Order: sequence, then structure tokens, then C-alpha cells
Amino acid sequence: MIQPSEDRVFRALEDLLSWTSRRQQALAANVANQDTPGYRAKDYSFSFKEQLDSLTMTTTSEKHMMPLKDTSKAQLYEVGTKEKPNGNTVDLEREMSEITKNGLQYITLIQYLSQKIKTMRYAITEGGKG
Amino acid sequence: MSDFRVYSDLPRMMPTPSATTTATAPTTSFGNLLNEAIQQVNDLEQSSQNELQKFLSNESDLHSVMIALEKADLSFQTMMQVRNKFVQAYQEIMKAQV
Amino acid sequence: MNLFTALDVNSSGLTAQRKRAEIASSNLANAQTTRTPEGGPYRRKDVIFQTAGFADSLATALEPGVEGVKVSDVVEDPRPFDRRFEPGHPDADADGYVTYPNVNVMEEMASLVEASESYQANIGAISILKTMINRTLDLGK
Repeated sequence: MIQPSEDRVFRALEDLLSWTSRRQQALAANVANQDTPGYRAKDYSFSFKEQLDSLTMTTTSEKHMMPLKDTSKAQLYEVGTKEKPNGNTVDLEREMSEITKNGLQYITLIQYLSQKIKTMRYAITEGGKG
Repeated sequence: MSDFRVYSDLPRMMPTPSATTTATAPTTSFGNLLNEAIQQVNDLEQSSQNELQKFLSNESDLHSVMIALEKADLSFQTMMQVRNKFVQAYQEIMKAQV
Repeated sequence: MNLFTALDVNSSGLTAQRKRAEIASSNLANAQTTRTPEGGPYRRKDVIFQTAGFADSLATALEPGVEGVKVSDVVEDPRPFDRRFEPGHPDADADGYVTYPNVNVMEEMASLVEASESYQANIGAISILKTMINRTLDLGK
């Protein structure tokens, strides 16, 4: 049976994954619009570290049900500092680097979740034997 | 089934993924445990169906669907194990009575 | 759907850059065209990029503030043609001048290179998205 404490971890990871994949979309838009005149590069203000901190706080103490920072309220902010002659502020190197980092963060979360599921499955199916 | 009381050894034999279930085992009827497991399987099955529907109409994420599917499967596995243990125990009792 | 929507966003980038490369190629191919069916030399064309949503139901999956890109228009470059003194040329006018297209070869080559780099960047982003999606599908396995 899935215990509430375990379910909380599932839900926290699900939220983190949602946020990460949502950010990937914003980064994709920056790359797609790197030559669009007047386009301002955008990103979210939440940092991965903040998210991870609130996740570890939630899971280490079973008694405290600390709510994760509400990621659904994340706002898009302009991030470009250098403006090209056509008004475009996309810094391609920054975007590609962030896309790679964000992608790795997402994959790491999936990996962690996968391991957790495999461990639980093993405990369920093998734990009773011997 | 509800007369079959759980003794302290049975929790140790039972393959639950968490220790908190076993702490309450001595006074929990085995039948209740199985019922709870079945109930959770139903709930999670329903959840994963809903999640899939939402995904197909662009309202949900792929990872949410996958997580819902895995949770339903884990719950189902648990239920199967509980059921298997019950059948096993029942068979042993039947042998003893002969 | 975020990952799939991101794929669409980068795909729109691919389409737009490809169109840009096509137009640049057309300009290069016609850099010496003094005679067109409409009369007169070839006039250089340019693409206009603009942010865009998606026409089908996937538009609802776009996060607020996130947009793809599209070529909203292909316009003609209004800059003046290039007049060169070539009295022997069949298209020379009364004064011996031939009017050549307003295509600058260096400009078009630079455009092609930029389009190619931008195209590659979108490909890179798509590649990472594909990995993310595949790993998600393998969850728990």
C-alpha cells in the first residue's frame, strides 16, 4: 500500500517535474525567437535550488506537512541584458546552456523517481520472501 | 475473513513497503487490510484513467500520467501480495485441520 | 503536455529558419538576374519574423507569455538597384547602363550562416526534449 508519506514525495516530485518542464517551454520559445525583431528573452523567477530545498524540508519530517512553494504562480520575467540592433534580447549561449541544465535537472528527477518506484516494487514483491 | 486475527508474526511475513503499517498490525484485522488495499487499487486505477483522459485533451503532463500509472501498479502489486499471503496461510490452515 | 508543446515551439523555429534560408538562397541564385517576367531586374526579398501561437488545439497548452515564431511576411527590399556601366550588355539602356539586382552577396551568405546556426540551435533543443520525453516514458522500468 502506498503510505501518505510516500505519496507526499510523489506529489512533490510531480510538482518539481511540472515546473521544470514548464520552464523548458519558455526556454524553447527564446531559442525559436532568437531572430525575431523586438522579442525579449524570458525566464521564470523560481530557481531549482529553492524548489529542491522545499522538497527536502517536506520529506525529512513526517509530522510537518510543509506546502511546496506554489509553482503555478511562477511569473515570466525578462532576462536579456544585451539588446541587438533589431530589439531582440536573446543570448543564444545562455539559452542553450540553460536548456541543457534544465533538461538534466528534469532527467535527474525522473531518475530519482524511477529508483524510488523500483525500490518500492522490490520491497512489495520480494520483501515477503525468506 | 474478518475473524482471522493478525498475530505479531504475520506483519513480519507481510511484504509491506513501509514500517508504519506493521506498527498497527496486532489489532488490525487482516480482512480490513485486504479491503483497504483493494480500495486503494480502485482509487489509483481511477486516478490513472482520469490522468490519461486529461493528457489526451492536453490538460495534463506526460510525467503526471506516468506517475499515476506507476502508483496504480505499485498498489496493485501490494494487493496481489496480500492476497497471495492470505491464500498461502489459508492453505496451511486447511492442511493442519486434516 | 509541456514537453510536447516545447517541441512544437522549437519546430516553429526550424520552419522559420528554413524559410529564411530558402529566401537567402533565392536571392543568391538571382544575384545576376537582369530580366524577370515582370520586367526589370530581380528585387531582393526578405523574411519578417514574428512571434506566433499555434492554430490548432495545442495553443491551449502554451504557457502564458510563451510563443513560437513564424514568418509573417516575405517582403521586397526597397533599396535601389545596382547600375553598372556595361554598354555591350543586351539589357543595357540608352546610356549603356545595366540595372542589376539589389542583392549583396556577402549579406546573403551571412544570412545563410545565421539561419543555419539558428536552425542548429533549435535542433539541439529538440534533441534534449526528446531525451526528456523518452526517459519519462521509461519511468519505473
